[in-house]
Amino acid sequence: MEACLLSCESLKTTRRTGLDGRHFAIARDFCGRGLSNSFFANAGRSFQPSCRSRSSPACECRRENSAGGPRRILLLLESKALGQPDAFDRVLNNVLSRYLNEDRGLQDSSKERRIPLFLLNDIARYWRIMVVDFAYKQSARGNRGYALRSIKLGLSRKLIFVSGLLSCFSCRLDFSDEQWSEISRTGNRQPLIAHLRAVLKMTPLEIVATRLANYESALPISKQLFDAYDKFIGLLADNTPTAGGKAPREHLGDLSVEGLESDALFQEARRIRREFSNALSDLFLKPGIELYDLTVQYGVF
Amino acid sequence: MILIGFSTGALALANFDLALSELERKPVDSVELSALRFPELLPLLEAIPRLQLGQYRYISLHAPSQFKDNEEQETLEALLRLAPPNWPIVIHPDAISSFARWRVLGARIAIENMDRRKPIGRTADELREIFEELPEARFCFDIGHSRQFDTTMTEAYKILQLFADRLCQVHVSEVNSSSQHDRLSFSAILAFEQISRLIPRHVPLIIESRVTEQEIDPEIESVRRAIPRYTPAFMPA
Repeated sequence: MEACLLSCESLKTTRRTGLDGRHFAIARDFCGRGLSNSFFANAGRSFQPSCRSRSSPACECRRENSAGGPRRILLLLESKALGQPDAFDRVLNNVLSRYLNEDRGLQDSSKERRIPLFLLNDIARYWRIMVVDFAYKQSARGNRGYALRSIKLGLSRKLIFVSGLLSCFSCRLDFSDEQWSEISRTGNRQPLIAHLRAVLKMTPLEIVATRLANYESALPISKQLFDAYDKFIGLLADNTPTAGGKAPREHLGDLSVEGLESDALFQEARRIRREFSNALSDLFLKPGIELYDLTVQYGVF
Repeated sequence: MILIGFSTGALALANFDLALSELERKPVDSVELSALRFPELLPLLEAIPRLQLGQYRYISLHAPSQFKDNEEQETLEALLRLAPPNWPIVIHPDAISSFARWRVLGARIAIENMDRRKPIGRTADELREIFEELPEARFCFDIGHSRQFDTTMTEAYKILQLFADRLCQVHVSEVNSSSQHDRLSFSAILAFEQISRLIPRHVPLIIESRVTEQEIDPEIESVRRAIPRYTPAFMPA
């Protein structure tokens, strides 16, 4: 057995949480090839590695269940520390560290990618899971709550996805060539982690607004986007009873799918959702500003 | 320029004479004289004139890490009276009850970033608030504390980005989960390497790992590996 600085308990914790990427990488490295005793002997400690055999290293055991990914993305995009933020900050830094350190494309300075694609793909997966979950709930709940859920999916949920997309794009847009060259050369991800943490500290609306404020030519479309979102928030916050005696949110929540096409409030909400969606299409899917190129290059395939 | 050395407290706790004797034939040219507990301070300060410190190009003092009653004021007065004015005085920010009182030391004081147990001084944001209170103060960067707080070294990166210009020394050790200072592990060396280039070359490295006399040389080698600006050509005087 090789001497090693990693404790069994630490390895188990690493496998459980999947968070400490550096620790995991060292463990994998250790398990994969023998390291000389002399190096570790300097540290004056000895240790039995947790791997039962070389053919099935502990390093292999980092599978996650289907809820792990969405929870992690929710943590990144929609969480806030209550009280002291120490543990929260540590966890988020470690989550981002895993996404960035294990993204080999970021290490190749000859590549012009400069987008954390591992993270972006998991954010895209999160969005697709929400969309699929929406369809699943139609069946599971017998279409109950469909109207409200469909409006929220097309506005607030989509906004979260867009904010994640823009956070990833910001790694390309907010760093200079020299900075990227240094990041690629050294392999050190701290500047990117610090940057993403600063971006993700903002709310999704703030992330989108901060980015879109850079594009003067797109201001009319940006205004359309935020006007639509403002109407959506106003609609859900309105406590004025509708003709049926319920507040709009409650009304939409109780509306049956058979009544959708004849319901004036749902039609209004749907119009708002379309305005929002059209503005997003103009910004991301039509040539004009750099978000289009990035979306075509990284956001689809 | 090669500046590397030990904290006397890491080698022999309050016994600075023993620590200095252990360092006599070692490849070090920097030292931190440590008085982490209040009763250790006055004996250390009064001993300074007789200490053999000729081998050191950089010397600092570490003030007590906590005070009771009037000890903070007594410490300040003793430091003003007895500490050589060109030696940085390292202090833990959580030990300070009145920042205004310590402003009299100006740039002689060096604020150290804290481990995760402490309520202040751990992050770049928390340090910024302290330096607003002590605008002339310098900075003692404890890389082990910083890694204990955030193993990704992102907080360390942010701290050095903001305060490298105040840096007067770096504490180097591995800080374990009980906040004890251990020898550097492989994992710590890899982590420290990542931000080592943000540490200016002229800033002394003060090793705080608790080691025996026999472990001094290997630990220096580990520190060189972790912060690789130091060439192996360096030999003892």
